[in-house]
Amino acid sequence: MMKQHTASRRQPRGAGLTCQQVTDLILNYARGELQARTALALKAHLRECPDCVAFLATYTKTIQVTNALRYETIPPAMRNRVRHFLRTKITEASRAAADPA
Amino acid sequence: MAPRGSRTVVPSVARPNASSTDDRALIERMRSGDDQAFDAIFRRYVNKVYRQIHRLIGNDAETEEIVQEVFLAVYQKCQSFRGESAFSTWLYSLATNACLTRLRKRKRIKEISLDGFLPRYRDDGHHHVRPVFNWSDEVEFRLEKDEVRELLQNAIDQLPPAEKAVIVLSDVEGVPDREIGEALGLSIPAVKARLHRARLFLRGKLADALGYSPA
Repeated sequence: MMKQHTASRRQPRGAGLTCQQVTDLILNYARGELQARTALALKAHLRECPDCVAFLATYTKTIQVTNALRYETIPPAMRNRVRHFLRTKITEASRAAADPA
Repeated sequence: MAPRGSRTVVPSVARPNASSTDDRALIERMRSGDDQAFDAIFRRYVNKVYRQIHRLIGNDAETEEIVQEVFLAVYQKCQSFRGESAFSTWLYSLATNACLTRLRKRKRIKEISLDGFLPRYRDDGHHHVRPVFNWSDEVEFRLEKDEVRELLQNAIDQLPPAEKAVIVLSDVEGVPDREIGEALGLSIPAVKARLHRARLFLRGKLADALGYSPA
């Protein structure tokens, strides 16, 4: 009886995957890198599990907002200081190379 | 934005436009003493390097020092760049290693346990907290852009160095897993594992900021 109960609790949704397994597969699923059979099992799970649908949507959203961080550029003042620093160093190196003594 | 890989569900970022052929030509010119070539490399990559370092380090003063350090290393070490990997990979490697060296020194101060913001599951494998709310449409509605940026930066700051480096290179800069692996000395599965864990943590932080359970 206890075994049946345990088996029932472990019964995964949709074609054999648990929510935890779905989470583990999300990265490859989102990139389309899952094997076809695994992708089908995951899709079957999603059809039956609104929690994983919500989880996938929020995981995807997290990637999108993180992507948006890339539209940042070095502040102009910092860029100028770095450039000045590098030019100074390069000039010093060139002088040293030209006049090793 | 072009997705990485085929049949991608998640919008991703495009690879850098600068071709590796152009980079190699510039490096060759640098080797022969052409400082304009170095200037071209600087212009081409300074924003990427800045973002990478700034996201990893989190403060302006140290970021500036490391940007200087990295480009100076490019100038000084271009003779030793053998071209076995893309120039961009070599550059990411220089920048990441410079950052990781600093981060390791302050690891004990800033590193926290990620577990409180990762998903949790019951013994049967179902989500521990149900229902899971879909708050994906609420982010822009409820948080200002600057708030999201600050929240993500704070969350990235709390990641262990390797996770931090991987998510910045992958999800911010769009660097392919293979190049990240080469830059950090990790296998592709190890890159993916760290990326996934970092994403789950950032997701948990966003959920928490919106008033939902990270689990």
